[in-house]
Amino acid sequence: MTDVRLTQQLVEEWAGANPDVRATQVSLEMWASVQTVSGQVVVSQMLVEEWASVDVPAVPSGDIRVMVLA
Amino acid sequence: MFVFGDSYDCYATLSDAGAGYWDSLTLGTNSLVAGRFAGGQAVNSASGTGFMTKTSGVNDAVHHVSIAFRQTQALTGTTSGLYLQLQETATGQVCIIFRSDGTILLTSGTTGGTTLATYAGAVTAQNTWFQFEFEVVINNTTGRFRARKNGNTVDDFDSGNVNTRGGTANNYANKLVIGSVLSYTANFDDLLWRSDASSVPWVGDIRAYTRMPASDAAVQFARSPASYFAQTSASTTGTAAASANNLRATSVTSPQTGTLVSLSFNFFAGITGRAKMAVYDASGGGGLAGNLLASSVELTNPGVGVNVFTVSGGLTVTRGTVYWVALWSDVSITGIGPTSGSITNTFAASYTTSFPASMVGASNTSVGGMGSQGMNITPTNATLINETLQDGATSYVYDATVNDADFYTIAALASTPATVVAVTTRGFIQKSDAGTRGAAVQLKSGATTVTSTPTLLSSSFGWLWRTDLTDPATGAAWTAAAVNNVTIGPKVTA
Repeated sequence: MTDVRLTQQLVEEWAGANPDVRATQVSLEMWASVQTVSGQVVVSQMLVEEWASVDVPAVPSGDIRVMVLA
Repeated sequence: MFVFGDSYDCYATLSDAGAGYWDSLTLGTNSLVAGRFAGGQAVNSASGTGFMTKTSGVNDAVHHVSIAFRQTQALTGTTSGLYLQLQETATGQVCIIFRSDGTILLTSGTTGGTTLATYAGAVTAQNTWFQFEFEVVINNTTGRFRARKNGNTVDDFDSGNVNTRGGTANNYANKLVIGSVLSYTANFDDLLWRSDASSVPWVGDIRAYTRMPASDAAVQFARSPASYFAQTSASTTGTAAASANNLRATSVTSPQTGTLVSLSFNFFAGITGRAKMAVYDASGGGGLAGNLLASSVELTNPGVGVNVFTVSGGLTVTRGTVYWVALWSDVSITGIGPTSGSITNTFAASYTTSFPASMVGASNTSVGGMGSQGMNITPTNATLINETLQDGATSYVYDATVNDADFYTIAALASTPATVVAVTTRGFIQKSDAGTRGAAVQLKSGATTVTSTPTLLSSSFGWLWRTDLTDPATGAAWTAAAVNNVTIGPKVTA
């Protein structure tokens, strides 16, 4: 008896390729000055620190001194 | 005038810069770090040679390179570190080198070439950003190197005439190389390269504002994912009965910006009665349930399992925003949730036609059987492609029909820049499968739409972009207001 031997069988499907366009990120880079239109010099506090010796002038002799006791 | 710049803000990793934006990228030990401005990114240059290259394709004599630089190691020694080399094709004409003592050198040809100029005291502090705008004129007799720092309107350094044609017989350059001579740690950001045959204007201290899409202006691309589901808890370990005539709301953070299409609740058993759901904002003080935003249809005798309550009206929910999703029934229900229950705002109200306008005053305790409250959201196209760092195929928009295009508005700026130098529109795009497909990015200003060079795609994500030095609608310099009003998006071209 002679057999028929089949070692491979398949279907070749001829179809058109139809890939999608995929966008995962879209952005806009705006190259602009660091300086803004509202950029102002902002002053929150201003003061003078006067650095002076701890020593106080001696009281001249002969002054009239008044002490008020409440 | 040729122009090319990189903010480095939108990359998930530095290797993304080599995906068709820069011509080549050798990553080495270089990486991304926090940038010069909040929310941005910069490049940490640690070592390596010639790790980014870009060819202009234009033989120009005058080059301006703007760059923000921060030295992160001590200002000492004379180690040559980060450099910017201008080449003619593959041959170096001149190099700008940052040295570890804060000096900037100009060398002939390569980093090891003769020193042509020495700009001492350019960088004066460690861990501090300095912005430089360099001008290099390529010429063997009238070549020149000038530098302006931190927006100075006059030169901080001028070499006078030097021979900047160090490598070839041609008085031009057409390629930029960024590299590091030796192991030397420094950061750079906001790199803008402009060149011209005769002159390039000084622009001072500039930065790149990276502006992501905000909303859909006109869209044709499909969405992936097409919908999002978010709930308080996916746990199904516990069940508990909840009495009738109480609103019970648990908090849900919206995963994306989009339209709320339905709410859902997981019933341990069906009920003979009526139930409906609503969503409240979190304005109730302390982030608790506040005002009614939308309510669902009513379900009669909902069965066991997850029941979906359709919401009409098109409520827009915003990514990252907390909402309180409430269930209301006229009979007791047994819900499914975590064993210990979920934090629930409970508001007593007899079941009737309309939800209360406010849940302010609700109790705030853990309630058994609660937590399966969920929101089903149809995202906008813009929210799928506006992530700060690109997320590949995690979320994207797609289309295969030639000439289909999306347009998105862009996010607003907190402050208005005084001048706008250029606008670069960028898209990170691939084709999904075998076969040919092409795309471009578009920018629409007023009634004028401009398109990047249509490009056939690979199946790996890569950058498509175009840069506009002027407003396409007017042909004049950009104004901040004009940029605010543009729309951008992808287009299928083949």
